[in-house]
Amino acid sequence: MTRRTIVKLLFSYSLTFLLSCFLVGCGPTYPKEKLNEAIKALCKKEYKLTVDTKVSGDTVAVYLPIENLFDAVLNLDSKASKKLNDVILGVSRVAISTDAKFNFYIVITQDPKMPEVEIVYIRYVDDIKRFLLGAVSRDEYAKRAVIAIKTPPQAERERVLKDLFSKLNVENPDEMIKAYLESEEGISGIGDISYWNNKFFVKEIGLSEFLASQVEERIKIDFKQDKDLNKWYELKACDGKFVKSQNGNRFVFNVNISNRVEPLYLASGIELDAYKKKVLVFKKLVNIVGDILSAYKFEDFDRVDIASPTHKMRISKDKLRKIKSGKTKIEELI
Amino acid sequence: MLLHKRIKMFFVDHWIKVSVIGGTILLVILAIWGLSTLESFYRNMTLASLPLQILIVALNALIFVYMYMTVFRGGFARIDKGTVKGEDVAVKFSDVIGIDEAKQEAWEVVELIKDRQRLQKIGGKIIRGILMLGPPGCGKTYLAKAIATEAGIPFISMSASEFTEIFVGVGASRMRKLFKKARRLAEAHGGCIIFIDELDAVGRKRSFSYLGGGMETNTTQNQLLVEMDGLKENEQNVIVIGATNAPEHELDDALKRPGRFDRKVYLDKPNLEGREQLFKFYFSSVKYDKSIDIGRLARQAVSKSPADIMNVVKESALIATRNKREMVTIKDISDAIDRIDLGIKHRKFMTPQEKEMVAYHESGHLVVLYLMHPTDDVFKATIISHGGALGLVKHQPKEELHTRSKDALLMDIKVSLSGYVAEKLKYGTTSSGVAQDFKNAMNVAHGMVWSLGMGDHGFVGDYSEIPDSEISEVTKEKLNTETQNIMQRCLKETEDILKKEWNIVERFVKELMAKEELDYDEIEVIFKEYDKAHNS
Repeated sequence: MTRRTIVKLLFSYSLTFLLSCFLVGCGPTYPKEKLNEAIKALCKKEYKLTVDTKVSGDTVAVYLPIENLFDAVLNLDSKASKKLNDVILGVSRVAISTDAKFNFYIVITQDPKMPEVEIVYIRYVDDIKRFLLGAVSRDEYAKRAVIAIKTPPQAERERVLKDLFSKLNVENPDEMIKAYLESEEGISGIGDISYWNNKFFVKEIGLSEFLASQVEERIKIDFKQDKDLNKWYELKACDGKFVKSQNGNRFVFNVNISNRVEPLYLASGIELDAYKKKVLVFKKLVNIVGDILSAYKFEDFDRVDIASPTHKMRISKDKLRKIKSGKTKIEELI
Repeated sequence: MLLHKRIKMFFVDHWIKVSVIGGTILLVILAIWGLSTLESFYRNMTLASLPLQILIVALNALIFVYMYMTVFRGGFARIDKGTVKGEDVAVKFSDVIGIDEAKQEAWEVVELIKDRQRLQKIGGKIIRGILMLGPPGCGKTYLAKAIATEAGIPFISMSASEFTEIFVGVGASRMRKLFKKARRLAEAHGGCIIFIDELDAVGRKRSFSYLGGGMETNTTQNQLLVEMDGLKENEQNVIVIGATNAPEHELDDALKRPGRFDRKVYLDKPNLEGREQLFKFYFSSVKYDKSIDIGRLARQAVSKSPADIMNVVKESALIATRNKREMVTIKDISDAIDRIDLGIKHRKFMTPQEKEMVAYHESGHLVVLYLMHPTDDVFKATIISHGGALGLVKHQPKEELHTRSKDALLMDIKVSLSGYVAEKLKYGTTSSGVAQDFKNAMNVAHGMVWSLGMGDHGFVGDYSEIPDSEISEVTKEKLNTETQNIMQRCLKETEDILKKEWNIVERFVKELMAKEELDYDEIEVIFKEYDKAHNS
């Protein structure tokens, strides 16, 4: 075989291979026109699960009914957990292999017999891609999902309205309640996302509000996991939101913490003064906020407001960047 | 049946290539199929990493190939020679010109190769080997290629030097592989020709030394002998053509015996007719002046091989191009012949006196040669330096002569001495320019007396063959005296000729001083002035 023949063969092989790859690699597996059907079909075919879906802008919501979702003590059942994970995986697969403009997905699961408790799982699609490309760790990937176990807000509202109409002796109140709940005004933030009475209550999620929710979640987790903080404080509540106003866009985090009744410091024999405790708390809070916003390269905000029962802090974007880079110390702001 | 055999042979010979190509196609199909089953994100991710993977694989392959080529080279016994199909050699018998007798013999060989079955029916034996003998450049390789083309069977060409290696056994191993390959080709194509050029590299008489010198050549030659015997046993149509320009007696007797190189084809330098054909053939591919006398060129090219003639035409075309001429002229051919025969001209600085002395020297040669030599003709006289000579007179036999008569030898001596005589007649003294002439003259005179029995004392036999210690001083003295007598007689006769024709000598000196170089026509014109021209 001459050198020319070998070169010709190699060239033909390469060309055929690349052409085939090009042809094979061109189209999306799940075209945007059939996105809902694709998710339903995938869950049905591969996981034998029936789901319902709804697209709202660049957000896709999936409802998964699971019988016996919780056990007697309201812990997530292991079989149910597997089903939930299967659907999350299925939706993730569709999310990354479609040509639809698809930024967030929501998986809502309820026990049909007990719809008053639901799990809402929200994931940013870019996070999946980054994880698959090895840009984020498995632990970080897990933390980037926003997970809430709650009563559907619509259920709360329905109960309140029923009580109200009952007291007012309004005839046939169900129609009115249904009409009210189905209006869009019923959903104002991520917290209102739900599935109630066979209807999705979803909205198009913005990255800013998703980050606010994620920070909120992270604060909750980190306060539990951080031994130093856990020693001094107990996190009662945390609320995060993104506020757009004429004065500028800002993240607002209200953290309700309280001193432990029986401080664990006794065990170590060391007691910090009030100032140091404050530094410890805000250092943690600012770091969490700074890390997340920087990880997502989010720039569309002007400041971050963090408030605790004892102290309030207002940090500009520029200041946050300096704290993150170590040019400014948190002590200077307290 | 033959097609079936060929297909089988192809798979046996190329099983690695077939496996690699088949495997690659399968892998490509599997890869594409595998990719198509992936979801688009994973597929794109795989495709995106493809260039990097290709680069890494290519880099690995490059390192592997480099290591293989530098360290292993496929083993020392690897034969790099490819096979050429007979029809692809594309040298037809009609292209072989100027060597008609050899061509006739070769044609018989072709007929025997073609009519192998008929020959076997009659009970005749197939020719196993053909030995082509002759001087270099006479078309041995060309004729071998023509045989392959006409016979229409594969042709493997190797130089015998490719068998020789520093490692004993490598040559023999290569020989085995060569014959193995030829046998397989013969099986598939009905015959195969192995052409071994410069056969003397492995075919010289085997030497035996306690130190092991020549072992490699011996083992290679032994293997060649064994393989050629093996051909006879298997009755395969493999013909070995060996070519050499070494004398036949230099080759090992075992090689020349019947059953090995059964037939000998002698390729000699072409005769006048052959040279004319060759000039016509080579001129057919260049633009040349149609007034050129090809016959005269052929006469001028006595003892030139086909390769020499091709070189003359090629060189003349180059000179014509350099001189910005549209076609090759006789002047270009003359310059080309000079360049090939005498080397490139280079003008050395000479004083007028020295130049004049050279002119007298060369004119002496020229006049004696032209007027007296029975066999040679003058083609050029020059006082421009060529090689190491300050001047020269170019002459050569008018026809192919294979012997020299006593008269011709004596005339050679006179021609050699004529330069010395001319200088002495003009200046009363001589220069060191006579050194080479004296050497030539003495060599001829010595040979005449010592080896050829041409002396006057009646010594017959080649005394140079007798060891010096076995010849008596008296005999030596007589032989040497006789040699000197020949020299003196020749000197005297040369003096007489030159004295008689001194005006012609003076005329040539004048012309050479003016033109520095005179060619055949100009020389002829001057002799014609004195009514001495050959053609007058």
